[in-house]
Amino acid sequence: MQEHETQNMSFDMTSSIRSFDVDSLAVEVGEILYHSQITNRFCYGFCSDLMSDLLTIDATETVLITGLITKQTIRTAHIAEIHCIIFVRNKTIPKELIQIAQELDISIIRSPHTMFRVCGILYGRGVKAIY
Amino acid sequence: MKYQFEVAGGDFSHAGFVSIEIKKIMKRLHLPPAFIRKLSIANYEAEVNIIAHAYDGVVDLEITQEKITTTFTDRGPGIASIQDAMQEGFSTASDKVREMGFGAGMGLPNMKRNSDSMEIHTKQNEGTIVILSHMVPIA
Repeated sequence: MQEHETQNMSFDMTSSIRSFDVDSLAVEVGEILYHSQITNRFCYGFCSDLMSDLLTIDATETVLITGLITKQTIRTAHIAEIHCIIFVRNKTIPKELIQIAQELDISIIRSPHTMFRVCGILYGRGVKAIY
Repeated sequence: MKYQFEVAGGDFSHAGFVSIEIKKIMKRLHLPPAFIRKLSIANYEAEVNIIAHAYDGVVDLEITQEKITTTFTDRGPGIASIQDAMQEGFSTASDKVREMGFGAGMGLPNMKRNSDSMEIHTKQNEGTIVILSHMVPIA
């Protein structure tokens, strides 16, 4: 019993947060359509089709999972400092959208899975919820 | 330093252009990332509001050593009740705006949360002026 308590106390909370790069996220859920020039690490996931929600969170080190395929999604992500977006349900991503992602240097992953499944997979691998 | 940008109402294809331009200017000034993020979110919400609700508008950016002020002046319907508009979740946005992922009724409260001071002057059937101020952090 004493041993257990000692182990718990020495448990480092920071080591329980895993971080992922774009490649390791894509291996889990889909294919990369644009890879950012900068190496970003992601610890958290946030899923929403509502851009207003995206603007109310602290999105540092966060990957956005969404089914909303619009130019506005990319621009909103840029404003919120999100550097990777996973588009779900195998939707066609227009070239124009990829161009905007290139201009703003935001990685784009397309997943064949549903939003629920993508979230489940990533959560299971250790991507954390923001709250 | 002073800058002025134009915003066309209803033109969602250009939503964010002004906020992204201002963000670039802030980066050139080497302001802290957290400060730029707050300022950009507040500006973007105000810009989207012009596009979603007004006919057109202008954005004036004024930069001093102490403060960044962005003034959003639009020609539009005005805000019927600022008190209602300040409530989270209250929205008069159209279905078209909601389809774009906006109109959740978070705009004005989020602008207030992400700025050091916010002033609103509105007149029914004439337009609205929103003034957002951000104090420059001391390096």
